Amino acid sequence: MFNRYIINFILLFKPLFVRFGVDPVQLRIILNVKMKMDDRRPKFYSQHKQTQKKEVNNTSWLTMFFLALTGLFLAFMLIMVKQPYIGHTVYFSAFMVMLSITLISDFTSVLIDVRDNYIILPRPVSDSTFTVSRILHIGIHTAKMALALSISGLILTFILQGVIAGLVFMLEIFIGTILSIFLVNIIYLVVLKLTSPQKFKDFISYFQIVFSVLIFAAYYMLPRLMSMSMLEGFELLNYPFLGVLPPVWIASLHELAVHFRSATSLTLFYSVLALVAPVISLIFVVKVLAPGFNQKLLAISSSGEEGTVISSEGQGASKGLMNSIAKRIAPDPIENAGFKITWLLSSRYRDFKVKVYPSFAFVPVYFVYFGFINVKGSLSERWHQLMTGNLYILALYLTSLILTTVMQHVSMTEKYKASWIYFTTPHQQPGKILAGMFKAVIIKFYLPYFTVVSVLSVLFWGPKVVNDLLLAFMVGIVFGILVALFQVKGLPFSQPVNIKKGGKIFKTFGVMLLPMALGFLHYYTARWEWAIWIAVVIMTFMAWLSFSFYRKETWESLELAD
Amino acid sequence: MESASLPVISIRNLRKSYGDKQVLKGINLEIYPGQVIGYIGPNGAGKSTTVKVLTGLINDYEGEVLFYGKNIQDDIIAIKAKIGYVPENAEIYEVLTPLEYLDFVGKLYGMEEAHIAERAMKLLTAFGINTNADQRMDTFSKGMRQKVLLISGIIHNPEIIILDEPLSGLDANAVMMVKELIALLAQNGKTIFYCSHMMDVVEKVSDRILLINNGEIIADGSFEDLRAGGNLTLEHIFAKLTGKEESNKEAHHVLDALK
Repeated sequence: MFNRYIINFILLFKPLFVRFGVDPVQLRIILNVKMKMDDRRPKFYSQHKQTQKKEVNNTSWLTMFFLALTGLFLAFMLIMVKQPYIGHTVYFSAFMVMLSITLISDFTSVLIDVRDNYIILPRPVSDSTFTVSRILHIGIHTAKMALALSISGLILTFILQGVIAGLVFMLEIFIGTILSIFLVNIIYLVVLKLTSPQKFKDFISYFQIVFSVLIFAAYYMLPRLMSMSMLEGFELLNYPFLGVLPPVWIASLHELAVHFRSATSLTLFYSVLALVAPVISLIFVVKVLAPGFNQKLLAISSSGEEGTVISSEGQGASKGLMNSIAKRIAPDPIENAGFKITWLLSSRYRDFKVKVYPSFAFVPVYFVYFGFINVKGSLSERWHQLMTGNLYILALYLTSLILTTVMQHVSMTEKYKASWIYFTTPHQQPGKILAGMFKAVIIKFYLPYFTVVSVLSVLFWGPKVVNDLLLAFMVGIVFGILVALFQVKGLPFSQPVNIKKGGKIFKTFGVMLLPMALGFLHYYTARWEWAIWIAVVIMTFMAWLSFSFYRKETWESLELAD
Repeated sequence: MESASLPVISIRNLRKSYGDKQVLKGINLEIYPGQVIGYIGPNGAGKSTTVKVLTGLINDYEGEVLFYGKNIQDDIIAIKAKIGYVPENAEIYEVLTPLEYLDFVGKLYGMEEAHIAERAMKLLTAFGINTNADQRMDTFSKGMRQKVLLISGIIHNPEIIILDEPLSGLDANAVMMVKELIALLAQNGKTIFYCSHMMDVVEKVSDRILLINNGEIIADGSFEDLRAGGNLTLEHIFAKLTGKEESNKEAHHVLDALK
């Protein structure tokens, strides 16, 4: 219904469109369908929560809701940071970054969608109608996102600073939005210039990964950082190099309009930049960037493979490494096959990477949060507290979260139908494939990460932590097998994404409880070195036992995809 | 028939290159009303490029393409209104239902909403997917999507129908139905340009077969003309004309590799 109002509003400019050779009736039809499809398309914000085949009708509004929540969070910066100039700079920095990232991660698929070439272009639709509908579709989407993100700040400004400040804030949002679009355009073009069209799709996946990490880190860090005194006494204009940042220009505009008494000539200069930059960037986008961009898009469309697959990885040296590891640690042919297919596909399926890679950032974020941010005292006091405590054990156990996340996703992909091969080949024991899969996950994901955390632990806490490292590693292995046994029973990449897992709450809870309980036990018994060594032996035996059990899994105990 | 009426489509010295590679090397062709043209050729011969030129998807080519004597570039919108197109790669907005999709396509052709709804339901019923009319197509099988695609190509009752592998994914009954449909549409004066690799179907539905190879039309005539009184199938004629008569030898190579 809201979509109709938006379209009605746009068509108030009907005479203008007609002058440009646009058919307003067709424009309405195309925009209507495009916006309907936006509402039904799985979005980055919501994709983790969707269950398979469940129809969605409101994703663009859901994205707006999440952005509005983020916007509310950002709006607090306008109040909490005591200097309004800095508050506005921080706010618009966050606004532009969030908007750019949302546009890239959520809307790229729409931008590079070339189905229109086959569905709309062969119909009697003029080039003008087609082009304008495309520009308007992107414009509406961007405006919705920008509005959702800024509505809280806007209301707050109107209430706290009055009508003039509110109106200036609206102008600032407009400038921020235009500059974000410019930024996104530049990013796209640079990436397209540096990489192949196929790699462009990979880039978008990595961007989504970075996006997840940023949101996760911001959720934990920002509230604490905002309440810290680090921003107090900071004079923005004393750092001329900050003048290259557009958010500083936008904040200057606000400073000039609302706090004009404290404004300087530099503020005036930045304000002029804020007003001129969007005009120049718009001209630059339309005249210089857009034409080449369309040609590049056509190249992407003809580059084939859609959606899920990342190209050209696992080549050369990396493939040689995989072969030699596989030969040594998975000599059984079926186990070897399970090892290699997991190693290769986990590098090439985008959906897997987007879901799993963000979990790599959990360990440092949680560690910094518990080690530094959530602790009272000065920075040196916090550091001293960290070095004298056993917090490295937390980092070690957090690493097992990576293993859990990988194990939870390694059996799922959008391309699960290719797994028919497992079920038509004459092997009796799927457990061997699972064993190969598990070894690949350990070697490729868990071990490298654990090694990095271990090296850092030994460097900072000394060699006395070696037994703790061994114990945590073995607990991680046992935990991983338990996850595989009780939570996710599936051959590598053989199940649809988000398959419903009914009646497993208690099992999941139980499995999650184990590393937590063992972690706490470990944390409080770490001073008895001999106890840790005994635990290492016990857990190694447990790991061997559970792995042997896992290796004997039968067809009956597996969950097969439809 | 050819001398009695004006050609619906005339292609004169059509050339098209992608970079250094020349895909179409001067094609000349006239297609008359009611003809069913079977357009065949090996992969990369230039079939899809020809289709894209005819549907207005490519316009940077050399030569002339005329519809009813008018250059396609002069009034492309009016010409597109007369064409129905079913693309090779089943591109469809799968988050829509068939009715929503057909409503969208019908409206782009300027049809009235009520008229579209009525015709769409009749066509969906004829294709046996009326019970799925309100389901989103992301759950559809390949065959069901292909049926919707076929319907979207004819919903506006076009004069010229361009079909690029239209039978892909269809079951045997649907294939038979579409073959019958092509014949009936031609009897009703529609001109059909049928692109396919399925030689047996092309052989049966087409009254004129064009064989393109390396960007040039190397054979043009009815099936009877092409086999010149012999006993060959279209498959054999195709292999002979495109220089791929060694399929038997290739099969033996495969068998040898298994030994």
